[in-house]
Amino acid sequence: MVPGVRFGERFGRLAYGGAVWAGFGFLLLPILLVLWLSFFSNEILSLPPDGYSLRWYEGLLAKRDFIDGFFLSFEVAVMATLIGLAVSLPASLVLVRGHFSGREAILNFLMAPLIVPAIVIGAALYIFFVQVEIVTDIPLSGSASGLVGAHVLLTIPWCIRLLTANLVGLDPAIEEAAASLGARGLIILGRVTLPLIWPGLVAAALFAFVVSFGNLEISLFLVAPGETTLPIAILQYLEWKLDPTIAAVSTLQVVVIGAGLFVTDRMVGLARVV
Amino acid sequence: MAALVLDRLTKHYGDHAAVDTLSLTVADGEFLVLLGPSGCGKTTTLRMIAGFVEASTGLVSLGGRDITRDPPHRRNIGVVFQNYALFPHLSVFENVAFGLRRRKRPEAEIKTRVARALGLVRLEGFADRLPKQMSGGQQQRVAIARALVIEPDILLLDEPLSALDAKLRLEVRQELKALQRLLGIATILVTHDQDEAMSLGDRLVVMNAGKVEQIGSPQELYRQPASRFVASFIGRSNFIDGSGADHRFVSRHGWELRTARPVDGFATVLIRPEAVVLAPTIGPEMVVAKVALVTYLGPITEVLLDLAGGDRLVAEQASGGWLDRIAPGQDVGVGIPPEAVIGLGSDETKL
Repeated sequence: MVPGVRFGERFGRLAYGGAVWAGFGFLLLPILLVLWLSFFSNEILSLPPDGYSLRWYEGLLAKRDFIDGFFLSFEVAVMATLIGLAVSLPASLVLVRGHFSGREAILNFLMAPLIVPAIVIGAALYIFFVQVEIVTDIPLSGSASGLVGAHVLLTIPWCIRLLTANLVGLDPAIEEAAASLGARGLIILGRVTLPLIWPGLVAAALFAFVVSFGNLEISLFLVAPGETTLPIAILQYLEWKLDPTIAAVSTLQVVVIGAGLFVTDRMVGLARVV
Repeated sequence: MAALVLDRLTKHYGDHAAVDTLSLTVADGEFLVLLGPSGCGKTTTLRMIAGFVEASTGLVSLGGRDITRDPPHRRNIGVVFQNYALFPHLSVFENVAFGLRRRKRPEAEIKTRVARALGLVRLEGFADRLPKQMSGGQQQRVAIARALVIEPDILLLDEPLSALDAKLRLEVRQELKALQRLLGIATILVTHDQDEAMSLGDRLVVMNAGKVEQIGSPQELYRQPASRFVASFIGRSNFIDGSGADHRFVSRHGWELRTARPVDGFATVLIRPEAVVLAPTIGPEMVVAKVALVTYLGPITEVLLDLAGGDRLVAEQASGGWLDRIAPGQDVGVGIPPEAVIGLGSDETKL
């Protein structure tokens, strides 16, 4: 029995636990605070609140900017996710299964949207779209397709990372076995490869959706005049007012993404995905 | 008729030839084993036959049709992989049925054929299990059933036993052999394990550096290896360097051996350890040797011998009698029957 050692162990464990909970708290407290704020009845944020009400949520229904923004963000995120997956899946298959020079370089290149600041991407795309429009008369800037295209860029690194990570763990012999048993390429993809990388596919879709849905910087440059995505609507509102409406909108956003996580967990189990 | 013919099959990776103008024929119902160290090209050869790797040049012909450029799914070849490669998301039944479903067989036929295939590998009650709910040996038997149920023109086995533990390996090996005999299906197995090769193969193909070193029955390869490489790969060997003339071989250290076949021009002879005759006293046609090391292995005793001239020799004898009391330092008589001295070509000039 060495009391000093036991004390040291206990202290270490306590310090570790404390650090973990402090980290959790740092992440969660602001979000919980926003949730709480959204039910305050007073217009000017102050503690303690005068009382509680649902008036900010009711008020949301009357604010076209938020409603339209929510639906635009949702539509763009769904489109960007679907297109991002559709281009990332074949790319990931080739990057993982293929043997060719420049593989690493291409993989790194596809990660670029993660490294370049989003505001720079937004500005660059805006200038590029304008130039394209001058030359070809195709109105990309301020069009839905331009916005979706830009968001696809955002989703690609996430889709590629998650899909390649899953594909690397898939024994190529399983696909070869399917081929030797008479399955053509598309049948192998549908019956063997996709079912086996399903968790990666769901995770990729989830991350792509969240990244696109919450993006402000790129959208800022590319939305059509008069149109706003939800993050832009929030920003614009914040420029004039600071009442719990913002908290209510944010809470709704948390709920939407939380629902996405919940559905994912039900479908494949979050632990398997991330 | 030949089930499979490989004609000057070659696979280049850049400048390196993984398989170099390999030609061989597999007869109907034959069990052929490709044997060699890792990197010798045996797996690449198998993968070219299956269609997973495209041949650089040469021809693969299966049952008379040229399949060199056919994709794997049109070849009708059963493949069993080292790590089973079962479909983890499908039940045992669906794993085995996979090939039949691709062939659009009616449901009733699929049911009976899958049941029959699972019966062959003694897994009747396991149809509803998932692969991960089974042991390694059972999974490999599912893989065999899955490859056999499509009635392939040839069965390819890529180190199918190496992922199993030693005891199971023997069991599945015997089952595999019995099954292959029963079905009479042409089979190629790839392995680096000489015991596996010897026990399973009707004929063995010893490969080295992308080329065939020797093809023959296990007996031929053991008794009459074409090169030092083959001799050292199959069984244990004593190599004696020296020079031969007519029926006489003289080692570098001056040990004279009589040989049954002429050994003109040979610079190395092979003597298998079990062919060495040991005696407690020096008889006729014997030389004296000092025992350096004794290893008792139960049924046999292994004796390391230092000959007076400086040659070193391993002998294996059935245990018992005076051998059980043999001790290092002791002098014994050593004789080599003339028919046990086998002349070896150098590795460059094969027979």
